[in-house]
Formats: sequence, C-alpha cells, structure tokens
Amino acid sequence: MTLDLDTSLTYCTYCPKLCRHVCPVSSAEGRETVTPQTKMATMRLLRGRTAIEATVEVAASLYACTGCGACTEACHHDITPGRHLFTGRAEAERAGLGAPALATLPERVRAKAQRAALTTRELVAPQRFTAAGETAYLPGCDDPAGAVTALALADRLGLPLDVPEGTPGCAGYPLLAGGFDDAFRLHAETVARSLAGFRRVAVACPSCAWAMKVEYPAHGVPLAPEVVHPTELFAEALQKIPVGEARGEAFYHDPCYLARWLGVTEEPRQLLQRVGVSVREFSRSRAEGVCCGGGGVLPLTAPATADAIAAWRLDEVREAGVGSVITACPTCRRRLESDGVASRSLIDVLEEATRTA
Amino acid sequence: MPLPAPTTRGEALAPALRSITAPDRVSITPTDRLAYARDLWPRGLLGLEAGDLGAHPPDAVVWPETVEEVQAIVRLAIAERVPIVPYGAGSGVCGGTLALRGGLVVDVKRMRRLVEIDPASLTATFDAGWIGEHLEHELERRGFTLGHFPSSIMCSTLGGWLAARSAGQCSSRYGKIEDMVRSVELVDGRAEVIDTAREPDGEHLAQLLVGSEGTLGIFTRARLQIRPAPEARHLRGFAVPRVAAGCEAIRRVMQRGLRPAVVRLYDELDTLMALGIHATSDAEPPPAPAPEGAALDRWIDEFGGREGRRALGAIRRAVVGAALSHPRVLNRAVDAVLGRVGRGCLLVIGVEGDARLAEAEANATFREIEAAGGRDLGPGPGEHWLRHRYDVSFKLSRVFEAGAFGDTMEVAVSWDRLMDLYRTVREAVAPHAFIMAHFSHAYPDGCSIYFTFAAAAPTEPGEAERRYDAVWRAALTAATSVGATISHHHGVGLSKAAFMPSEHGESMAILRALKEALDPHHVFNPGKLGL
Repeated sequence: MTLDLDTSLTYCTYCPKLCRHVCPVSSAEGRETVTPQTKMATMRLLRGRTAIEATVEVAASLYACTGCGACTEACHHDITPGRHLFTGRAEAERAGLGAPALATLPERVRAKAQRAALTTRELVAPQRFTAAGETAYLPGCDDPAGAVTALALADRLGLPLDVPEGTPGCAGYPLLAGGFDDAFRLHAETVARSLAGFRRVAVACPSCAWAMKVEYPAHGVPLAPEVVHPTELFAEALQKIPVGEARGEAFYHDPCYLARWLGVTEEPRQLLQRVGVSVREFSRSRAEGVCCGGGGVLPLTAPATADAIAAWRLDEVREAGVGSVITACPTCRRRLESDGVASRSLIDVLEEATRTA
Repeated sequence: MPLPAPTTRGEALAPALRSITAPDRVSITPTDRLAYARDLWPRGLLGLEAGDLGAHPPDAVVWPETVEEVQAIVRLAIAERVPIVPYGAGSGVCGGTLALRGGLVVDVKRMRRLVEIDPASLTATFDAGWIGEHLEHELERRGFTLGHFPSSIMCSTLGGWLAARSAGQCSSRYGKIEDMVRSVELVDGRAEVIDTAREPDGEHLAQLLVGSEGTLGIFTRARLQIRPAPEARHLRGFAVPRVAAGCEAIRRVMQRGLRPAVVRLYDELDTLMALGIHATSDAEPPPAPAPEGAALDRWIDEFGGREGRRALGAIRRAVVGAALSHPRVLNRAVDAVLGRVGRGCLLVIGVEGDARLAEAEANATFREIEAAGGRDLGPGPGEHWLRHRYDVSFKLSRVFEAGAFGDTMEVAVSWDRLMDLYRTVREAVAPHAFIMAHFSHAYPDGCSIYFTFAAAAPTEPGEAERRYDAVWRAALTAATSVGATISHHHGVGLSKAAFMPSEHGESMAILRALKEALDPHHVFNPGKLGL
C-alpha cells in the first residue's frame, strides 16, 4: 500500500533513521540535519499545524537530496522522500523560501536547453530533424552532441531514429527538482507538443525520462509517445550487434533514475557484454547502487557535497585499479569524470565498438 | 513557533571552532542545533505533536575530521568550561547524547578512515565515525565480517557501539563489541590522546574506556577483531512448551561449550509477533499467502492456528485502540487468551562459521535442544527470522502514529535468577504498559531478556511523559530487585542514570575515580551514566 504524503511524513518523523546509511548526502556531510528522516520531519513541521518559524535556512534541508531513491529502497514502508522533498521544495518556492542558489533556475534551464538544442542542430544532418516518426531521440542538455553518436549507432543497427523538430534541449527535470512546478508544467507542455507525432521517444537522460514518463501525466500533461531509455531501445537490437572481441574491464555505474526509478538494470550490462566489455560490478549496484551526486540539482545547491559523493563513488574504481567507468546517463558521466578514471558514455562505447567491429 | 535563537556562548565559540576545523564544519544555526536537540530516546518523541522540538539544543555543533582537531576542540572546551557531548549517529535510546547543559556536540561521523585491515592478525582498524552498515559492508566485500549486527546497524556508529557496549544479534558467538575490541584511541577530558594499542596490555586497558558513554572522552578510532566471512550457516526453529523450558535448552547449549551465533527465544506473545502471523477476525477474509507459503502456515499451526490468528487480531486492535489505556486489563486478557490458544514458544537458533565445524556444532546444538524437549520445526523459522531481522524498528512509526509509545528494555542476569527476572518485570510493568519479551544474547553463566513495552500516550500536557516514566521506574526497580544489570547493551545514558548506584553500589567509586582522572574539568557529557 502506498502511503499518502501526510502519513509518509509522520512515519518518517518517528523513524529511527533506518535509511540514513544509503543516503549519499547524509553520508557525505555526516550532518543529522540532512538525513532523510530529518528532512522529512522538517517538511512536516513546515506544513504542519504547529508550524515552526519558516525561514529560508529551515527550508534549505529540503534541497539536500539528489532524489536518488536509495532511501525508498531501504524503507519497509516504500516511502519516497526523494519525490516528496521535491513537493516540499515547490511549497517552499511558493512561500518565498526557495533556495537562493536556484533563484534564476528557470531562466538558466531555458538558456541551457536552447544552447543544447542549438548544438544538436549544428551537429546533426538537417534531414534527420522531423516532426513525426517512429522514434524520437532526446540527447539531453548535458550531452547535446550525443545525438550524433546515437543516430550513427541506430543507423548501423537498422533502427529508425530521428531528432524531433522544435523540441527543447531538456525535458524539464531540473525545474521539477528545483521546486518550480508551474515552470515545469509549461515546459512539459512544450515538449509534449513537439513529440506528438512520434510513437516512441528515447531519452538519454534518465532523470528526464522518468520525469516524462511519470511526472508529465501527474502534472496533467499527456505525452503521446512511449518513453524509453536508449539502452532499452538498443537492447531490442541486441542480436544485430556484432559480438565484440574482449575490450577490457570497466565498472558499470547504474544511474539512479534508470535503475531505481525506471527499473532498467540488465539492458546496459547485456549491451556492454555483447561488445566485449567485461563488466566489473560495484559492491553496491543495480537497485542498491550509490548516487553520483548529480541529481536533485544538488550540484547547484551544495556543490561541495555533490563532489564528495562523486569522489566516494569512485573510491572502488581507484582501489580496483580498473581505471574506467561506463554509465548510461550524461549527467552521471560528467559527474564521474576524475583524474585517473576514464568516465565513458555507454552509447559512445557501443558506437565505437560497432564501428570497429 | 520560534526556532532556538543563537546563544551568546555559541556565537562566542564559533570563530575559535572554525579556526580549528573549517568554516563549514561548525554550525550554530537553529536547524542544525535542532537536529541535535534529541536522540532516539522515545521519551523525547512524546512531546513532538504538541510542538516540543527538543529541549536540549547544543550551543554549537562541530564535525572534526582528525584526532588533532578533536584535541583542539577539547582544549577549547576546557579553557571555556563548556560541556562536550560526543555524538555518533544519535541512535541511542537512553538520552545519552542530550546536551543537558548546552555546550558543544562533537559529531565524529566525518572521521571515517579505514586505517588498516591486517589479514594475518585478522584485525581491522576503523575511525570511530563509521556507520555500522558501511563498516560491515567494507569487511564483507573483502571476505571478512565483524560479526556485529545490532538492530541499529543502519543508524549507529562504531564510536556509539564502543560508548554503549553494544551487542549484535550474533553476540552469543562473536561477543559484544567489548569482546571484539583489541585497542581504542580516545581523546580524554585533559585533551590527551589515549591509544591503548601503545600498551602491551592495551586490550585490557581499553575495557576501562569502553562503555564510558561519552563521560570520559571521545572515541576516535578502534582496532577490532574480525573473522573470515562464514562459509556455512545452519538456522533452525524449535517449539518449546514454555519459556522456562526454552531457557533451560539454551543454558544447556551454552554450558556445553557450544557457541551458536543466533539464540532467540520468544515468549508466547512475541512468538506470534515474531512469526508475523497475520491477524484475522471472523469478519475478515483469510490473509494473503505469506512468502513462505505452506511452511509458514505450518508454524502458525504449531503456535496457535486459526484461533491464534484471531487472538492476535484482537491483540493488535487493542494495542492501537483504547485498550492500551488499560494495560493491566489488556495484559491479563492476553495471558488468558494465550493460555487457551497458545501452543508454546519459538526458539530460533543458528550456527555459522567454517563449513565442517559449523555442521558439527549445529548437530550438537540441535541435539541438545531436542534433548531438552524442543521440537524441531526445520530451517524455515530461522530463515524467516534472518530475512526479517531488522524489521522491528520499522514498526515504531506505526506505534507513535497510533497515539501510543513503544520502548524496549534489555536487562541480564545469571541463569538461576532468569525466570525471577522475567516474572518480576512483567508483573511490575503490567499495570502501566502492554509487555512482551524475548531472550537473546546467551552466555554460559546467564542471559539477557529484551522486554518490549507499549502504552497509550495521553494528550494532556506532561501525561505521556508521566506514564512513560512510571513504566521505566517500575521496570528498573523490578530488575534491580532480582540483581539484574540495568543495561545489557543500550547503555545507561540519562534514562537509567538514577539506578546506577542501586546496581553498582560502592563500585561507583571506580567510575568516579576514572572520571576524576580522565576528565578532571568535567567537560564530558554531564549528567550521564550517573556521574
């Protein structure tokens, strides 16, 4: 049974912090204020009948979350602090208590999305832009050039894939995570309109894929195409991918939104193994994987914490001396870039392997 | 409701603290101070709904990363005569981390180096700030285990374990934390670093410090005995006719020299709870099949069958309903019902370790229990326990949400007085709270009893606290009257401090002497451990 928001907040308030060990933010900071329990208890106080004096500083703890969902995995009541805290942020924003670091977030998201769309436009052949088709590809604002790779790979595998005409370069997850609900809804409407002519849309950024699949409908924005992640799309053509020679060992990092929120864990591994990559597992992987620190707009509200989380995730890679981590999320890939560790996009690896095969 | 305003003392200390650590590792903000204004002592949760945000916010919170920083913080506290409360993860249930006189909370969670694993000596050295689950995970992925599995493992630290003399679910084999410690490092109340590893007899000196509950200093590091991850595990459930028969079976096992990892005997009511038997009433449809399917049904038949289900349904409804306001009547009714439908107690026992040794030990252990009258139920109940071993803490939220409170008391005594302890505490608590118990953490000379209480929390101001205090006063008075220790592994903290003299008598002089020697300025954790 899914608990409603009020009951969830009450349960968390009286919980002995049983998910704190999986929370990347509280593990990195070591601060009780940012355990999932305290964040949820604070949200309850902010909206309760005995409301505490509401200040920007009190509301700040609501922003100390990547939305990774590890707490939900650990919770026997299936409570979703990672989603509820976004609601708390929206309430804080409406009350004028939003995080100062996010004050201009809607403008920044729009500008970044425009830049990303422009980059994709410059790099992709004009004939690949269309308003309707079988499958649209959204590369995401963190890797607009990824469209070139994905289209090349799709062509090689005979999969119909196009870039939608007029779609913003971001599907809006940062607006939702930042608590800008109205801006998110408006943005979602724009994205949905631009994709109305497609049967499917492959979204490279798992957090935006989740937002489109789950949050668009929840915000009253119907989306015509079915949402998939590119790894699901390419896994459908697994048998067409030539079996590769051994390409060495690499860790595979499960993006939280892909593994936990969308439940996609096996397709990326199947694809990597198919092209000859020996997948090294983190000691915590799949639904138990550890966040890279990039979700929930944490790099904007607590950049040092986000960096510490990424460094923590890379400890095992360094310890193993493998030197390479592959992931299926443009944001994760960027967050895991570090001296001595090659952080690679799974689609880039596939494209390279099939090109040389 | 206003937030706690910054204190003059906090504002005065902050610049010096920031120069010791770093600006972002010192806080005097209202939200950080509120987050440290309570720990998991259930009494502290009783006033939440009425708006009590925590009575004891510290003046400042500081997060050191090195032992040198801890030393400098202690020097500052001595110079300014400011109390220090050492803090791990705040999972203590006895109020041990409440800043009763304000001062500094020193949170050690940023001290988290895995200093060394010595596979030859089978020891591992960790900083004190490691969360338990993380520590065990680091060992497990290297093929080792500490063997320490407290139900708080997700939310407690190594430092907290050392402070409270923690016990895990496998303590009967691996010991409590004090049995695993080979040496400790602690910054005391003189700001000196005591590292017992430097002493030839460091293990024994460490025992003077383990269990000091923050009253002598701050644990910063420990070297622990680790084990190879067990190759084999044999879990088994037995039905025993009564609590006393189950205790006798455990005593025989332990005194024969066997060391099962898991020993848990549930009394009649706790047996039904432990098996997760689905409560039903005549009006309710049959429960959904349990994951264990037919096997679970068989155990249900063993311990209560359909009548047991109905009885448990009535009990659960009573616990969350008005009946909890009349605990004496409720306890009597439950005893009467269980006397009619209950069919004994569940004993879960598990053996693990080297494959061949474990098999031999399991055979000997299980034979001993059968010889004592236990009926073998197969591995199912034990595997069920293993899957659900950390579930109980998740139930607390429901209890509080239902307008009640719950708490647990872990006491221990020698075998000859164990049944006296069980009966005396139950009788003493029955007028005040609903009560059940299980027996775990067994030794050749005695055993611990883990009592669970629940009672309605009246909404009138102060009434819930009065009822809570009455339960504990009755329980601890009863426990000490039969010579039991007042704490087996939760610690003493604030909640049991008044009973320290009645347990320890003149031995309190030893603790006082240690306090004077190591914390002569009395900066460390005032008001705790009866010191």
